Amino acid sequence: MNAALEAVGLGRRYRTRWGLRDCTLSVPEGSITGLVGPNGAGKSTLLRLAAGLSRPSAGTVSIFGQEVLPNSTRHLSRTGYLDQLHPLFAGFRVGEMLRFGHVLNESWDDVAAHEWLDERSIAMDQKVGKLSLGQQAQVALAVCMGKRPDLLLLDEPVASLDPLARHQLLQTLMGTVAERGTTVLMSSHIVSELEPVCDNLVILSASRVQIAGSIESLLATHRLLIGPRSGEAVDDVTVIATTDAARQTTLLVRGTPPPRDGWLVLEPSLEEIVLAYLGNPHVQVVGDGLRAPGSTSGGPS
Amino acid sequence: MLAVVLGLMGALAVWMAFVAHTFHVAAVLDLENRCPVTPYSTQRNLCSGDETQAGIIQWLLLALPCVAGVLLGGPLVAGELHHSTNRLAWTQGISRNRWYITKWLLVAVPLAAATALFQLVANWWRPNVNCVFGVGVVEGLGVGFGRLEPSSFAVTGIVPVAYALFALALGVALGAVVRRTPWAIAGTLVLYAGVALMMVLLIRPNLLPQTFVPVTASSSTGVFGSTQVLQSGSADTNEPWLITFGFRYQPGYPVPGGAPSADAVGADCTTTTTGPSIENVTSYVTCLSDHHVQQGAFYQPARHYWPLQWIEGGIYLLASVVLFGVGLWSVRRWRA
Repeated sequence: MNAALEAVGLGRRYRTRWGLRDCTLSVPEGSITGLVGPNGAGKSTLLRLAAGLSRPSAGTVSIFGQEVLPNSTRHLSRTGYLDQLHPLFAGFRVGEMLRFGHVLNESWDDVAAHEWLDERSIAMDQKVGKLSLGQQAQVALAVCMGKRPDLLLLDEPVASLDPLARHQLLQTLMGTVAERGTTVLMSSHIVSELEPVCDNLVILSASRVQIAGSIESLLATHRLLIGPRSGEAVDDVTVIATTDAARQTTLLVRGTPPPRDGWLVLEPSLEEIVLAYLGNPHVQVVGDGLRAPGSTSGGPS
Repeated sequence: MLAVVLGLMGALAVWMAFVAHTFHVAAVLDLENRCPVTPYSTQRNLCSGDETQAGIIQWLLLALPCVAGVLLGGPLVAGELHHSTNRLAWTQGISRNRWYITKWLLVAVPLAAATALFQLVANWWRPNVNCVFGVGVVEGLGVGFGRLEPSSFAVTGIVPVAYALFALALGVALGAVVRRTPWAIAGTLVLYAGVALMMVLLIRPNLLPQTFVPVTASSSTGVFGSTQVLQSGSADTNEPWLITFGFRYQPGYPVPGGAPSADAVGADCTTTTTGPSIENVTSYVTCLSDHHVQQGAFYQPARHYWPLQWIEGGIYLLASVVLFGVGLWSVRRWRA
């Protein structure tokens, strides 16, 4: 299985700080990967670098084996990018937005783009600026889908939607994506939103990748240990987070600890794992790598 | 925005026709009230009509290429950067180069065409209200007589098109660099005005060699003689652009090394003869001729009109090309 997106040592330096650093990531074709992390962690920077909007300060990013360079159009035809602001031309009508996509792309699926909006009862003659934020997101997404991209880069695609619309959009999006075998890299703040639809998860903090792996392997390799507050070291595992209460200590660890007296071993939820990492932004772990859908073994094949 | 600019130009044209009409009507109703035929113009001018409105229009004509260019150029790139719509445009199937060049040309071509058309309107309009600008000639930089005069030169010929493209290119480039439409517009207005002033005061007078007409001072015509010397009607001095009164060494006089400039000698003679006044004319003239210096008028002759138009237009177009490149470089370089 080839990588749809491959980042090697990718970094982007802004004036005084790094927006993203040392990012090495291989996203397999056909997989759906979620990016989580706090604001400013580098999610948008990674997506913009992959879309060719930003020029790397270090390392490279390739899409389907071709390096992404700003001012080159090679990667553009295969990539659909949805910005977190989902910018549109406010003075355009919906139909004109689709025409914009039609004219500016060599391959354009006009039927698919129109259907996407018809299903959501967004009329072609409405002014884009007069639509609700959620509807604007739908129009931006329709322009994205009209490209029939092989790789979808979605930056906070559902942030402006209400909970019901979020759920529906993700479901339909994933349905379409599964049909076409599209690779998706999408960012979100909300883990519970990503968990049902994603194969893989990348946790970013302080401009660096903390861990990247399939959701399955993340769940399988992390444990929650609850024991007495003794301060003694725990062997054979990597401690990600420590929470001390009055009498007991809760540890989130990576690895499978041998059984011990007085310690309770629990399976954490994905959200607990993510929070443990985000609470300790300097912990970095080499994960099992991202996995293509349907493959059972861990690690890239 | 293009529609707004074209609309403004249309409205101005209608207004100009209306004002020209008031002059025409006044002329028909009041045939006695004629302007004196100015020696600078071969036309017999009819002097009546709404001179205030004509004056305002004259200023608008000067400002038009700049305003049109800056209104279209300022937001062209900066507006997209501000609304982040460039992120949408740059992730479709076309390169940033093509995006920039297409946008630029889509605005530049109608702007150039409209300005060229408008130049014809201005050319038709000016003689119709000419007496407003044909009178009140000030010594030195005269007010609007002859097509070489700054206020006329700038609204006729090919330079208005070059000015408009320059303002457009400046607005686009500044917008791409500073990424803010208001700053781009304000910056363009300031820079454009600075460049235009520098051009008219320092550069244009020297683009081609100036002609010098000696003016002899006498007790009857005053120390500075008479500007009428330029009105004597030879082809060369008809409708000239009078740049300045000044001094030069007599032609053929071998100026010794280390000699003061002719201007310094002239100023010296003016001081030592206790100021230029009718009583001192004789000693003043003697002082000048003792030093082999002549006083007279420097001007650009009327036949320089088209050469100056082409040279100045070329300078502005070249600057526009450079600024086009600056904008392109900035667009290629910027992260979105």
